[in-house]
Amino acid sequence: MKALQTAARRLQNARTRVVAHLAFCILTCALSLFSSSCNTLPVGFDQLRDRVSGTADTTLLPDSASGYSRYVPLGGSSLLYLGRDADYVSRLALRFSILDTMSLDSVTSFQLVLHQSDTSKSMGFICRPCSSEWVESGVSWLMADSFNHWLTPGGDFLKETLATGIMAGDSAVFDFRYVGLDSALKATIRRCGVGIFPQDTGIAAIYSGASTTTAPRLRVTYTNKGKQTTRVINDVADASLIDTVATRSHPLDLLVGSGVAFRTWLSFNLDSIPAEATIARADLKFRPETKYHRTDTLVLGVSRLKESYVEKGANARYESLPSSIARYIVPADSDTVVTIDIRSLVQLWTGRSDTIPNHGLLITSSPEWSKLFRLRIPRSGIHAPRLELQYVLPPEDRFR
Amino acid sequence: MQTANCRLQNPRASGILPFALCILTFAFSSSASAQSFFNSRGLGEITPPGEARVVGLAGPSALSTLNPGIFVDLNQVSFHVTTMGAATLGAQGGNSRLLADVRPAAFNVAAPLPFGTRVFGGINQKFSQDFDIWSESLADTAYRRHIIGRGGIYALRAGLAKSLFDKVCIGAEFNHVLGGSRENWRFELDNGGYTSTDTIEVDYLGNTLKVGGSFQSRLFSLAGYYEPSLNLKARRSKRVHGVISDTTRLYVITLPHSFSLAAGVNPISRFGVDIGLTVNPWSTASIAVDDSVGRLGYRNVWRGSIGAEYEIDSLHPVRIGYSRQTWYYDATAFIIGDGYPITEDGVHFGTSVPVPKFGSVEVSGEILFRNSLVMKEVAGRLMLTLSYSEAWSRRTRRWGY
Repeated sequence: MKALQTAARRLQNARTRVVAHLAFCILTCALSLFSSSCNTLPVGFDQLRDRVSGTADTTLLPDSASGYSRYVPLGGSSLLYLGRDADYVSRLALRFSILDTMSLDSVTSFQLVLHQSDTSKSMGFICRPCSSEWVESGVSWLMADSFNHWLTPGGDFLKETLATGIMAGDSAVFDFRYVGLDSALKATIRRCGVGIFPQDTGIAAIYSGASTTTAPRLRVTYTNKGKQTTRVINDVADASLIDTVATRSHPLDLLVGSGVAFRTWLSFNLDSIPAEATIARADLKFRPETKYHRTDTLVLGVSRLKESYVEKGANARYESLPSSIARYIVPADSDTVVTIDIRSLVQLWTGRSDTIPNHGLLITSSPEWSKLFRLRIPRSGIHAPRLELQYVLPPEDRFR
Repeated sequence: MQTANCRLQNPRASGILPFALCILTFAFSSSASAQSFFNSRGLGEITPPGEARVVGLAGPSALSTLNPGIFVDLNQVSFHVTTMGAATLGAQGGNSRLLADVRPAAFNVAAPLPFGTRVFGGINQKFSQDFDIWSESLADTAYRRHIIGRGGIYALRAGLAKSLFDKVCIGAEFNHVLGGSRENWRFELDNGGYTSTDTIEVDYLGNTLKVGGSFQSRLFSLAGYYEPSLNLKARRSKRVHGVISDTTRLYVITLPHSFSLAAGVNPISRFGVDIGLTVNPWSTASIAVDDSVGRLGYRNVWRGSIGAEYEIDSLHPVRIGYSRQTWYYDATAFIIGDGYPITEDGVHFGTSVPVPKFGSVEVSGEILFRNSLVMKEVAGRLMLTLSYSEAWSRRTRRWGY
C-alpha cells in the first residue's frame, strides 16, 4: 500500500515537472514569437534589393548668395531690450491704457513697475513721453507703424522726464510723474505712450506684456472712502526700438542676426537632382564667425522664399515660419559647424518644381527678436555654406 | 475517400443564410494579407485550395472544388466560406521576424440541376502578394525603407459539370482572373514617422478555362484537371511621393499550362488515403512589354502530397498529411546572386466540427517549412471552412404549426 502511495506521489511529481517544463517551453516560444513580431529587422530585404538603387551623394555650393538687414517690428515679443554698447542701442516704447476720466485728486502714488529676466543686470534709464502714435505690430527704429516713419529715427519723444532710476534685481518700482502734468501732456501719454532710454552701457532684458504677471505696469495708489486702494494698469502695447552700427559696415558680408534683423539669402541649383528622388539627407552646413552675442545658444532658422530674390531683392516674400531650425552653441573652440536639416525643403523643390519654384532660402535668427547676436557666414573657402545631399531613386517595377 | 461533394443532411434552420452572409462579409472585409517574406517576387505565393477539409489532407487540389469535375454526388446546394489565419516566422542572417494576419480564403457555391448536371461558382485567390519587409539603414543615415505589399490575384469562377452513372463527373469552368497589388515603399525616420511614400500598383486581368473530371467509388477515387496557358494583362502605375505620377506601363504575363492529379483509396472502413500531384511547368513563362518578349526565369515545379483520413465516428474525422513542393520562382541574395530555389515541406492536419441545424465547420492546420539558401520561413496556418447545404425544396405550410 505504501509503495503504491509512493509510486503515485512520484507519478504526480513527474507530471508536475512535465507540465512545468511544457509551460516553460510554451512561454519561451511565445515570448520569442512576440519579440519577433515587434521588431523591424531587415528579414527578406534581399528579395527586394535588386529593385532598389543605392543612395547617391552630392555636395552643392550656392549659385548665389546675398545678405541684407531690416529694422523689423519687435512688438509682441516676450522680451524687451534696454541698453546700449559699441554695436547696439535699444530703447523701449510702452503704452498704457489710462482712463482720461480717472480722478487723480486722491492719488497718493503713481509708479512704474518693470521686471527683468537677468536679475544680475542693472541699467539706469530715463522715461519720456512719446510724441507720435505708434502701432505695436509695425513699430521699429525707423517706422512708427507699417506705413509711417518716425520724424526722428529711433522714435519721436518729448524732453519731459516722467521717471528715472536704475533697473536692478528681478523687479523695480519707480515714481512716475503723471499726476502733476498738464492735461495736454497727459493726453499725449495716453495716446502715444512713453519711451524708456538707457543711461548705462550694457543690455538688459525686460519682460514684455506677453505675461500678465511680469508685464510693465503702472501702479496707482489712491484713497477711496478713507481707505488706501491700489490699482494696477498693465501696458497694452510695447516694443523694443533697436539700432546697430553693423548695418552700415561691410555691406557685402553675409550676416545673420537678431534685433535688427540680418538675413542671408542662398540659392542652390538643384537641377541635377532627379524629380522622383527621395531626399534622404540634405544638410546645409557652414562655419560662421560670431561677431556679437549676448547669449551662448543661437537659434537659426531657414525659410523658403516665395518670390524671386533676384527680381525683388530684400522685398521678396518668404514663409514666415522657418521650415527648419538649428541651435548653434557659440563654441569654445572654433571648429563647430552649423548644420541645418533642410531635407523637407529640398524635397519640396525637387518633387514639386512645377508648382513650387526654387527661389532659394533665407537664413535668419529664429525668432528675430531673440537675444541680440550677429554671425558672419563666409562667402568662400572651406567654411562657406554647402549643401550635402543624399538621395534615393524610386524602386524598380516588380516585373522588368 | 470523401471528396468535395457535400453530405450535410440536416440544414433546416431559418436565418442560417443571413448568418452565413455575415460570415462571408466579415471574411472578405478583413485585411487580406497572408504574408510571406518571399512574396515580393514573381506573382507571389500560389494560394492553397480554399477548403479546410482538403488542406487537412495536405491539399490535393484535384480533390477540391478547384476541380470542375469533382461534383459526382451533389444533391443539395452547398456553400463553403473559408477564412484563414496565418503566422510566418522568417529567419535570415541571424535575424528573425514574425508576420501574422487573418484573411478570407475562398467562397464556393455549387447547386445540382436536373439530369445530373451541376452549376457552380466561387472566388478563390490564386496568388498572394502580401508581404511586409524592412530595409537596412541607408548608408550613413538613420532612414530605412519599409515596404508593405498588399494584394493578390483572384479567380472568379463559374462552370458546369455533368455527373454520369453516379460515379463519374466531368466539368468545365470559366475563370475571370483579376487582381491587384499595391506596394508602399515608405521612407521611415528613426523616430517612427515617415517622410514619403512611393507607391507601385499593378492591376491584373485575364480569362482562362479549366476542365476536369473525376471517378469516385467506395473504394477508389481518381481526379484531375487541366488549366491551359493564362495570359495576364498587367497595368503598372507608379506614384512617387504621392505627387509625381509615372507613366502607366502595360505588359502581358504568360503562364504556361498546369495540371493536377489526385487519387484516393479507402482500403478499410472509415479510413482513406490520398495522394496528389500538381505540376506547373512554368520555365517558359514570359513577359511581353511592347514588342519585346522576355523570360521571367521561373522554374518547372511540382507539388506532391499524401494524406490520410480516419473517421473516429461518422461526424468526427481526423486528417493528417504531408506535402512537398518547390516554388516556381527563386530567391535571391545580395551577396551571392540569384537562383536559389525555395522548397517547402508541409505537415497538415484537420478535423470537422458538426454544427447542429446548420452544417459543419471544417478545421485545418498547417506547418510549412520553407527553405532557400538565403532565408528560411516557418509558416503556421489555421483554416476554417464554414459549410452549409440547403435543399431549397418547397415546404408545405400546415395549420397548427
